[in-house]
Amino acid sequence: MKRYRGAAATRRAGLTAALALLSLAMPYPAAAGPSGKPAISPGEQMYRSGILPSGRLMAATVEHDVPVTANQLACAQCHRRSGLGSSEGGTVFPPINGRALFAPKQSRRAELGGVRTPGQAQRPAYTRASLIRAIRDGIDPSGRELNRLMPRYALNPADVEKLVDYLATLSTEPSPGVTDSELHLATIIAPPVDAAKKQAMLAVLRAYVRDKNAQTRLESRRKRHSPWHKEWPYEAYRTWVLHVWELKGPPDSWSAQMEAHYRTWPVFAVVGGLGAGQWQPVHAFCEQRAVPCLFPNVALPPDPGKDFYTVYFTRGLYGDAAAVARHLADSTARHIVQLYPDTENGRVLAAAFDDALKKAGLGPSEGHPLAKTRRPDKAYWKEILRTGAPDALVVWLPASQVSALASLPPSLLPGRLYLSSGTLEPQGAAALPASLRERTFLAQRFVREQSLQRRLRRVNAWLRAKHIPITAPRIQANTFFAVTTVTDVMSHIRGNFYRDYFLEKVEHMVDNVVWKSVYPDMSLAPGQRTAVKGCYIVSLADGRATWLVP
Amino acid sequence: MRPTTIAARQRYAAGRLRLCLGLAAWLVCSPVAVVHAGEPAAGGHHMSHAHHAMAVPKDTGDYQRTEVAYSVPDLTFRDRHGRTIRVAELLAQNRPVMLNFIFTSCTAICPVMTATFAQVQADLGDERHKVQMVSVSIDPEHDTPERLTRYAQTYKAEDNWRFLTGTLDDSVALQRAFNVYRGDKMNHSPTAFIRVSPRLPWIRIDGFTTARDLINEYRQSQARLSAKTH
Repeated sequence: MKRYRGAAATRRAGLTAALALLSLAMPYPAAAGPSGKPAISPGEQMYRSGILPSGRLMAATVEHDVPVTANQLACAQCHRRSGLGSSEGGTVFPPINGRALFAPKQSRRAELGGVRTPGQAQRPAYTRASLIRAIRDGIDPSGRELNRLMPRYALNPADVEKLVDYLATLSTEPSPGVTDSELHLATIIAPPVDAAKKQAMLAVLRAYVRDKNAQTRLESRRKRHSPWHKEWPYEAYRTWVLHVWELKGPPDSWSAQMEAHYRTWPVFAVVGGLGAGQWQPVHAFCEQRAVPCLFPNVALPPDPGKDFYTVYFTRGLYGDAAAVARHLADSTARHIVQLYPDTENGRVLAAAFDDALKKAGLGPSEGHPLAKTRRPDKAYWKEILRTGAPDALVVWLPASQVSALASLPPSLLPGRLYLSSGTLEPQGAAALPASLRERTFLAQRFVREQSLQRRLRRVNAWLRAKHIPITAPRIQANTFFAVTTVTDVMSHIRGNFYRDYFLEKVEHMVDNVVWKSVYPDMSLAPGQRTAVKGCYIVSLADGRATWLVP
Repeated sequence: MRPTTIAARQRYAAGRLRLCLGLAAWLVCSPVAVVHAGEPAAGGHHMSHAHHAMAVPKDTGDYQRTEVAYSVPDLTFRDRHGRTIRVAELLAQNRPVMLNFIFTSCTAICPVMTATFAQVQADLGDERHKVQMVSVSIDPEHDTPERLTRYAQTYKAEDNWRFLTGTLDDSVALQRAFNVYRGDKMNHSPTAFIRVSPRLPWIRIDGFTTARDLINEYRQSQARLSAKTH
């Protein structure tokens, strides 16, 4: 394992003191095992999904007269999985983790010289009894009525006790990967590895971490002499330590490699990363270990479904496949041929394309796997197209593999040729003969060339200032986006080093991050794990681009 | 839910009284007060309610009511069944329309707004078939027709309640037309719109309401309309 520490000297003081302090507020030990995800307790199930131990849904009333069931309003909906709360518009949902509930809430405004009468901002600590009253009747420990948005849950005594048990343990201990002086982050590189891209990405991360540590190294000293509003951010200061986890060998061996890295030094989050092929084992590891993984550059991201911990830029080649299928569904093309590399990844992609065709209401394609040793020459194409020119030919290969197609008689050429920018490298579409360009559509997820240059201007200026060669501009811009997002989010969560809270803030903040990735309209929301939903289909004949959301 | 025992009612009323005294002081310098004061008497319910709010525990939301004429742009959306909908036509029907803006992965505000619409649908009884309810997604790229279908099922929405999705640009244009665009979907606030006839301006309701509030607004507007026509 390689570790990178940046310029600042790093101290290795343990968590002991902080943990000892926190454990006072934690009557129930958190259940977690190294073998996998901890089993969900009845209280946790009620909190997260509103399902009672009986299997029925919790019922409640909001706004005095609106009955809801907890598939609409479980606790975690508003107060979030971390329990640290959230806000939307002008509505604020306060933290309800164990530490917050069982401590008095006081306004610190007096320290700024203001005089404040006791109001909603203050209350005594909850006891178990007063917490039960709040959950069922909406009365806080000072006797005030809670906001009417807070559901009044109809819970029997046994069930409400289970919920209170869970709240008492919720977000009481900082997540692994943070010490009182360091924040540990990893980036994961999965084979097949392109050495140039790897170097390009790592250069960004290392320069960024080095500079960040240099700029913030005095903050821990400043906090001792600050007013409280400065103490908060300064308290949260940590030296960043970047670990590079470079995986080797077949995908089924990656899990053990990641476990070994993690056992040596657990990380708080994974940032950036490269995966030109499979990513599923990394996705599964992060889910199992509950490690946030932010914006890896991957070709075949697994469908995140309801998984929580990995946030992807796009749906990768799957997104391209879905957009091509949608584009075909809007045309008259019905005889569709696809050509894909005869590898596991190629077969997975081809199957995904057929699925997408089905979803778009079309029949499956006529699929042809291309062996690694075979170069598609004129004879090959004649063989593939012997049944006549198809309406559309979809090729998941670099443009150079398609050029021999141009030597066929025009009557044999497909009506439309679809290529994906994700498989076109290294030359891109420029290598395509003119006779093919006029019928070619390109699936592309990043913004068009003209606006891409504009978008990358700031990050390229940064790269040049750091003397980093711009060898993989899209990956470098995306990596810079990922790491600046981590910075923004860390400054928002301050000392609340909970991974779930970290991800909840990512959901909240990505729409407004000032730095740009290479993708348009990035947007997340609670539960969303793919920031870019659509894909351009660019006509090379006239340069027109259509944004499709499959 | 209102308290049922006498003791609880007294506690409740006392709490409300304290709250109202505070509110009264706050209203003096509040922009909300300006809106209430500037409202025509026909605006009725909420304002008159404010007059006796000091004495009676109220069970309406703290919302702000305005009447505004919006011009709806000619945009095309898709409903949860994938059907093409011209929104200007949908909203200009000669029957009552209730409109709000939501997104399905919203965890906090939208579930309450949607549950309130669902309760209005239930409380209207048979009359619900006469009312066109519309919820427009402000996260349209994520809210596909399939997602909207699941969402509608969760809230037992019937056919008279349309859920619309479209392009991001069109959703933003419609939000701007109704002055609810807040730059970022995670910053959106609870607003509902009611119009009982295309001949009237929209009643804009900012803030959280009970289902009864929305129905009261709807009924009073209907009464004013029929007074006008007879």
